[in-house]
Amino acid sequence: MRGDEDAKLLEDMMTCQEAVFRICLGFSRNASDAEDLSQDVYLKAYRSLQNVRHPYLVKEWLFRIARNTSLDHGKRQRLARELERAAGPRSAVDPKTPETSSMTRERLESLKTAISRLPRKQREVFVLREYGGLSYEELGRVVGAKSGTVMSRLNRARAAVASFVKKAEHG
Amino acid sequence: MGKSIEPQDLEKIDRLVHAEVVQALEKFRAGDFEGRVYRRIAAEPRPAKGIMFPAKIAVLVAAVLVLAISAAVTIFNPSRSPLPVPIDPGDFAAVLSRLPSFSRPASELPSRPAAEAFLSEAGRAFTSVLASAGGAEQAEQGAEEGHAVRPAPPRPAPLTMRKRMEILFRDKVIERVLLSCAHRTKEV
Repeated sequence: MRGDEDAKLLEDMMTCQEAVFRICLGFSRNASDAEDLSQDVYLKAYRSLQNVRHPYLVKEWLFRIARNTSLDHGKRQRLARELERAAGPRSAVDPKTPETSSMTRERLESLKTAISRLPRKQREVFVLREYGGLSYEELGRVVGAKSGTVMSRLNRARAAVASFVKKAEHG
Repeated sequence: MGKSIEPQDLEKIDRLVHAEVVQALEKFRAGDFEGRVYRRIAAEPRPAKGIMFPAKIAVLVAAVLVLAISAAVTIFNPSRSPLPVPIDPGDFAAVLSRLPSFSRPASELPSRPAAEAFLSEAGRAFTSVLASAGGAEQAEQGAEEGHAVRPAPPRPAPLTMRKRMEILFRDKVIERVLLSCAHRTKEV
């Protein structure tokens, strides 16, 4: 540890570990990936601790790192999927899928698909709000938009997700 | 995908998200996340201490100072030649002395308006000074040797085109330097 201040900052950041995990889960749609991503987020934050000028904004800074890390991970995943698709048929069984009842799994699957189909800006506000539990002000600061814009994006994202899930349920 | 949203749909989404989060958090809490993070941090190579803000300013100021000093030395260096390529004064004098207008007195110069127009103002002034100096020198020489009529100087070999171009170039260089000096003096 580089100093008492850094140790204190890291301790403060650790209080947000579940929020960070939830955000990563919202983006990655997978618990194991979300945990790995959360660790990456904390490691990145630790590497950049000397850049923290306002310790009271450390929570939002951490959420921003979580968002960026998850989005980067998403891009890499998409690329890997494309390569996999090009290489051959994909395995039908996902080993990381949690063991849940088939109905819940189906619903969660439809939620996952709905979120993944959202435009990037809508997806990030949806995940940060629904999974991360951020306030509108925090959301605005994290994504760099006004509260009104954030609310409008969130509303559109919710409507799109609800509509998709409903359609999936009714066949 | 419509934009309107019914409350029960919103609740459904909330329930789904909640179910997913609760399930995932159970696994997350069971694992030693904090311990893993600290272990990874401990395995990290110690990051170099970032340069402090005042230190950055000091480095910037030092760099600007070095640049300013080197620029000042380059501009105001008195020993620096104003010409891009240094010309040996001996060579310059040799070339000038081979010029017909420089080696003969002004009275013997052919009255050619084209040749006069060819010379710059500085060149003409220099020619007349050289001619008067040459005349005085020859008069002294004649008095010493006791004869009034001096022998005709040997006719110099005609200059090649390359030599003429060299002379012209050097004349232009001198003119430019003088002009730039005159402009600089005006500005000051």
